[in-house]
Amino acid sequence: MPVDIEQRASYEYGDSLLHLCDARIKITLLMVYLITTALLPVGAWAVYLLMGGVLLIVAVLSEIPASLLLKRALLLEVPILLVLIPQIFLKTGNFIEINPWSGFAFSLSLTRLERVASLLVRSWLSLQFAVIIMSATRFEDVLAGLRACGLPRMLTAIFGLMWRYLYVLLDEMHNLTQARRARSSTLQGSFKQAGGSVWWRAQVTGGMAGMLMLRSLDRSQRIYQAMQARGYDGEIRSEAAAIPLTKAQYFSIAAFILAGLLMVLLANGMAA
Amino acid sequence: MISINDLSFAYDDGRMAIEHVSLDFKPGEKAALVGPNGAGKTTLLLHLNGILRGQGSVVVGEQAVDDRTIKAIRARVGLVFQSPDDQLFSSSVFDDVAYGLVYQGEEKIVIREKVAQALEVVGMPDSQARSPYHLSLGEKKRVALATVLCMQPEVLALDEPTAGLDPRGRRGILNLLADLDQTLIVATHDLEMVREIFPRVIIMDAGRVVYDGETQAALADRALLEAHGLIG
Amino acid sequence: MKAPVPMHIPDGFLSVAVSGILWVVSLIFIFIALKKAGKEIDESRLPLVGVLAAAIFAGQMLNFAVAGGTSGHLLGAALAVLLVGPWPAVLVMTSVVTVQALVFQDGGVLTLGANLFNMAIVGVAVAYFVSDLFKHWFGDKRWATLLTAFAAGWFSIFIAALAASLELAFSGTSPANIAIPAMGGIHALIGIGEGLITLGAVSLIMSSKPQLLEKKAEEKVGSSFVWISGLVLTVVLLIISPLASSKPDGLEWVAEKLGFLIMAQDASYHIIPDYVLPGIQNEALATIMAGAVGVVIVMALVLLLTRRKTSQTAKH
Ligand SMILES: Nc1ncnc2c1ncn2[C@@H]1O[C@H](COP(=O)(O)OP(=O)(O)O)[C@@H](O)[C@H]1O
Ligand SMILES: [Mg+2]
Repeated sequence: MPVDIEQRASYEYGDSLLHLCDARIKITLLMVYLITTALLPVGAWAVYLLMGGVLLIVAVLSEIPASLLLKRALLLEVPILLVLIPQIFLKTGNFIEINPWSGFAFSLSLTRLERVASLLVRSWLSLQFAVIIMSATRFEDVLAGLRACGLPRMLTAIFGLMWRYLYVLLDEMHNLTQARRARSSTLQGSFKQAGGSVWWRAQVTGGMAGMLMLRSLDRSQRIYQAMQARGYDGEIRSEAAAIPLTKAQYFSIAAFILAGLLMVLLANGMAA
Repeated sequence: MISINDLSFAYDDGRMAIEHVSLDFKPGEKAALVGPNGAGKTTLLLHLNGILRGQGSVVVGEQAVDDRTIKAIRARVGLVFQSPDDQLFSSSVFDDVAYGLVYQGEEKIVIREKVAQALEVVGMPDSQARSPYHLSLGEKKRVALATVLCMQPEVLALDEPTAGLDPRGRRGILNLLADLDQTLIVATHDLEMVREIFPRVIIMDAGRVVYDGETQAALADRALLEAHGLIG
Repeated sequence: MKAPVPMHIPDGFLSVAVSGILWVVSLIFIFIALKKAGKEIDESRLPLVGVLAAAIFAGQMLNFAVAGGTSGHLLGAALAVLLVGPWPAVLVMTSVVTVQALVFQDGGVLTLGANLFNMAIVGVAVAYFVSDLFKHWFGDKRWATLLTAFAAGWFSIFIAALAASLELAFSGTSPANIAIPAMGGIHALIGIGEGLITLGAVSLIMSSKPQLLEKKAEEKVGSSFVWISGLVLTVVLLIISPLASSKPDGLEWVAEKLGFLIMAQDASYHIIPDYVLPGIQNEALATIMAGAVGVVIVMALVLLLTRRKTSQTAKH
């Protein structure tokens, strides 16, 4: 898995305006921001800057330390970016020939370069916005918000269970890998793995995965028994009921959507 | 209160986990269930409120455990599992303690009240908003107990409540158990606790009951304890 | 400690149309899975799905060096299929991918529909189809079960990556002749890791709890839909991908006609793109070379990045 859980471990405690805001509002705000960003045309740099401004305002509202946000800001999906890069060397659109020394030349497509750069900026904005919103919203509230927005009961329950057991199993995982490391002498910082062929290493790793799966199957059976013991009868019940949105909240949702539309129109107007 | 008559049970793989077990428990009685690992203690406890159903009969009060009575019986017999990680599956302590009450169809205000009360009893009054994952093992075990206490069952069946605890955590649980006035059936390896709290002890080995009687007499009988791996 | 897998598509990389369509497709599939899981399968599946999803999430932390710094690790779709059957596996993978996107921003929110499609639907359907086919062909001897596990793992990754690269190409993010060979190439390698771990896990489970792997007959009946989806996805993606990567303009043209691309300035589709690779005039050869160059660049950079990451982790 590409992410470092500890590094991105989401929620940051706080009581800022953004933290206190209703999860449903935050989810709509996030969706509007993401859709708007995705709809912006290539090369609308001024509007990207505006969107960056919105990002900055929300970041300030969240009162999350800048250092922390900056640390998370460097997280980009690196490998998938690499799929993007080669296209700037295509002889497409507006391109220039670069001839650094005789006998070797390559072309650089300015059109593609602008396109790739635009994409990176928009992708970064989206990621950062999601990071900030999720840093200021507890997972339980995200779930309750999604439930209120129509997420089926069963999925809500499954996500909740998964969230709860994620950390329990990550701990077990950690213990397993530590036990493995304690028994194998890997040269640190090098790729030369001591101890066996690829085949053997795969077997060991697979065995650990299998062990993890077996344990979780057993555990899920015991959890089910514990649920039954307290009266679970196959129906999912919960005592959380959604409070209806106020007029002001509806109004702010409408305002977000309008602002998003404006941004898209503005960007397209400027491009034309 | 509970009467078990000639109960036998085999898991999927076909081996008998308990065989021909017959036991009676009087209301308010405190009984300990001891025996080596794999003796069948957990399996027996799982029969007390119908999680498992073997051959033979289990009667709670005047109700035999069957499909019709199961809901009522689960309200009367509270079961606490050995690992609190299995018992606590919600994302906050409040949700976990409230779980059983929600299924009993209680009013919201009543639920709040009972949850607060149960957490008070186990000495965890300020933990409602915390995630069970972030509690210490001792705290988890207390909350696990609260998830069942709040339903005010007549019988409490606990699986190894002191296993893995440090001395202070263990003492806390011991004091708690000593103060309860429900019928208590507790599976354990903690002979010190048995001596202190439980007048009656049942020794199991290989799925069978090999001793059922006074704790004092059993604990004084070294040969008996050694034969069933209770002392090293 | 972790190697990057370019399977989770971030926000901004897919056009709104592609994201939207795949959201709808994924929601339909998940809806059916919920119905099936709620009806056919007893309710004890609820904790099963949740805890297994958490376990697969945690299992994705496991990796091992394959060769030259690439590491193999788990996506988990195949393992989930082999353990709990296709419909619950769809739910397991849905939980994994969704929580990764929502909480860890691993993969976008707007692109979540596409990521669900690739990993929870394509991954699961292909793994199910392949494992069923292999079981049919080779029976359930020990070596056959292990081979099945490997194949289900490899195909689920490879075909899912092809789907992802087609989505990128359709969105105009990366031309098909770069996206498909690059994504396909690197995932053909990553798939080996997936296959081997799946195999190792199945081998352990076979020796400790073999009854888990014996699928019940009634589970298969309700799953023919998944089986057929797996067949169609495998065949179609295997045919479309090479076609699309040899005619990248064709795909962009189609995408533009369908209104998938909103790119005002880029009016250069009529220019045949090719790499300036000295001496290569042949168009077909240039296309293949282009793909190869893409793969090499991606691989080299991934190696560099993993190397950096590994040495960083080692210091801790
Ligand atoms: N889920 C299960 N599946 C198969 N066998 C089991 C299961 N749980 C327990 N057993 C077996 O049943 C026997 C009794 O186990 P258990 O009741 O857990 O004993 P105790 O709680 O006294 O340690 C043991 O032999 C154990 O291996
Ligand atoms: Mg036990």
